[in-house]
Amino acid sequence: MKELVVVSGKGGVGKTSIAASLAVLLSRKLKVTAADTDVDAPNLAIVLGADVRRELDVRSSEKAVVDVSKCTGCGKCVEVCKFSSITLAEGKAVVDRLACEGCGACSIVCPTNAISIVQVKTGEVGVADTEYGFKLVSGHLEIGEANSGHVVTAVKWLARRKAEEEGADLLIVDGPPGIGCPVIASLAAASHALVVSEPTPAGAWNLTRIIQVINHFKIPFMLVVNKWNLSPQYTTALEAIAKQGGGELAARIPVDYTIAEAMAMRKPVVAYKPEAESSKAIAKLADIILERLS
Amino acid sequence: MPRVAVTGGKGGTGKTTVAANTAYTLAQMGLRVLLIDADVDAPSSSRFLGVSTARVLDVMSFLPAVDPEKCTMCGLCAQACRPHALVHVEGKLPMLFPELCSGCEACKLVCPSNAITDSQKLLGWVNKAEAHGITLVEGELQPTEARSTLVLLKAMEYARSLKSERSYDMTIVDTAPGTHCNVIHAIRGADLALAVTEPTPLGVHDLELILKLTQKLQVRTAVVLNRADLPGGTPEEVERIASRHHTPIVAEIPLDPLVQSSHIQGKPVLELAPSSRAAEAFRTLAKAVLELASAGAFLA
Repeated sequence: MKELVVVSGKGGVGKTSIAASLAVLLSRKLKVTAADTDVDAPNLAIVLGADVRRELDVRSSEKAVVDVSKCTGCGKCVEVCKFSSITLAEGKAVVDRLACEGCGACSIVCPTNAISIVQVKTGEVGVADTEYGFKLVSGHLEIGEANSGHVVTAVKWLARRKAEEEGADLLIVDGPPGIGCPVIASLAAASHALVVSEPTPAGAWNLTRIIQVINHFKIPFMLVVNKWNLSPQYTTALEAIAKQGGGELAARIPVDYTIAEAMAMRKPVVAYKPEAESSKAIAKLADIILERLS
Repeated sequence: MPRVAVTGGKGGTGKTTVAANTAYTLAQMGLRVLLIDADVDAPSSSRFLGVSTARVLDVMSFLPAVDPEKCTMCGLCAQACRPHALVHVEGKLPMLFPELCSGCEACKLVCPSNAITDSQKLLGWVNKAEAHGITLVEGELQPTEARSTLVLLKAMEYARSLKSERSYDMTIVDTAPGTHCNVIHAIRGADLALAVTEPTPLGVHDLELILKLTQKLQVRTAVVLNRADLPGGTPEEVERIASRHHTPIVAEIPLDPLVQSSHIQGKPVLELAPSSRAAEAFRTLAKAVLELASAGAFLA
C-alpha cells in the first residue's frame, strides 16, 4: 500500500480542500482510505460532509500532580522544570497542567515524594464512512494538550489498519501545518509527500523549510502551487525551490472561489462542480499522482 | 503595558496579516510596538512586513552524553526517561535516540555516578528586527527538529528582557495555528485575544475550538472576520458562534486584492494602499484593539 501525505509548512494554503478532492478522484481508480492528522484543527470530515464516530481514546500524556499534604514548598521542583510549568503559591507547588510535559523531573528531585506523574487523555481517534465510498480516519487533540504527535501516530495506526481491512491501495493523509512534531509524525513511513504552497514571500520561505524536513526523511515529493495566478513570478520561484530540493512540479491551481462555495456545501470542489477551473487542475494533479504511484 | 495575542484555530485565516498590520497601524499612530512572532514552525511576520531579521540567540537544549568511564550501566536513566530517548540494554551503555529527547534532564538528575553530561543540541533561533517603529522578535524552529515549545519559550523570554530595557506601549503576539501548548503559551496572560477567522465551515469549526480555549484561559476575546465578503461564504455562521460565546466581532476585513498584493510585495496594507477598504478596516481594528486591550489591562 502506498501512503501519500499532504503537507504545507504554512497553514491555510489549501491542504484540506486539495486532499479531499484528490481522495474523491483517486477513489474512482484505486481503493482509497483517507486520514486527517491535523489533530489541532481536523477539517477533512467537514469538507467530505462526513460524521466521525469515536473509536478510541489516546492516553499518552502524563502530568505532574502535587500532594499538598506532603509538599513543603521547598521549590526544588520549580528549579528543575524546563517547561516553566510549576510555581509556588502560598507555600505550595502548583502545576500548570496545560504547560506540564509530564517529564517527571520534578518528581525525581522532590525530597518528600509529594509529586506523582499520572496519565491523562490526550485525544480521540474515530472513523467515518464518506458518501464517496471510502473511509476516513480522523483524530483530535484535547484542547490545550501537548502531545499532538502521539495522536497523529494513533490516527495513522488506525488508518493503516482500516486500509488493510479494506484492501486499500492508497492511504491519503491530510497533514497538519508547520514543520514540528505532528508534521514529522505524519510523514513517518510515508511513500510520497505532496507539498501545497502559495506564491508569496512567506510561502517561499516556508516551502524551503518543509522541504528540508521531507528530504531529511528521504521521501519523494511533488509540489502543487495553489492560487498560482496571484503571482506568476513567485510561482516560478516556488517551482525553482522545489526543483532544487529534488521535488517534482505536479500542478498549478488557479484562484477559484468555487472552492469556497463547495466548502459551504460541505463538498470537495471536484464533486460540487467538476467543470470549475480548480477542479480541472486538481483532476490533472490526480492523474499525475496516479502515474507516480503505479 | 497591554499584550494582545492574535490567534484563530485554523491555519491561514489571516493571523499574521492581522498581527503585522495591527502592529504597523499602531506604530503609525505613534505607539511603541513589540511584535512577537510565536509561530516558530512557520514564522512569517517579517515576510509580511518586508523586513529582514538578524539572529540574536541560538536556542540550545539539553541532550545527554554518557561518560563511558563513569557509567555503571545501572539503567536508572532509561527508567526515568519518559519519552524513551534513553534505552537500557543489559551490560551496555544506554542507547540514545536524540529525536525523542525532550531535554528535561531527568536522566542527569537520577544518575548515581554523574555519568551524564550535556552535549547540547541546537533547536532553533531567536531573531530580531527594528523597522517601521516596530521591534519584531521571532522564534524560528530548526527544520527537522520537533521540539518547538522550547524555541517559543526562549523567544518569549527574550522579548520580556527587551521590555525591561525599554518601555513599549503594546505587545502583539502572533500565535501558531491550532490549540496546542505553543498556542497556550502565547495566549496565556494576554489582556486580549483576537480570534481571526474566515466565513467558511472550517473557519467556523476552528473558531469554536479557539473560543473554548481562550475561555479556559480566561482571556478576554474578540473575533476578527477576515475575507468577510468571500463569495459563497457563511458569515452568519461566524456571527452565530461568536454570539453563542458572548464574543464581539470587532472588525471585518474585506476580501481585497490589495491584501494579497501586500503579501506578495511584503508591504503592510497601510503602506501599500492607505486609502483602500482593507486599510480602513485595519484602522478600525487598531482602534478597537487599543481600547479593548487597555481596558483589559486596566481591569487586570
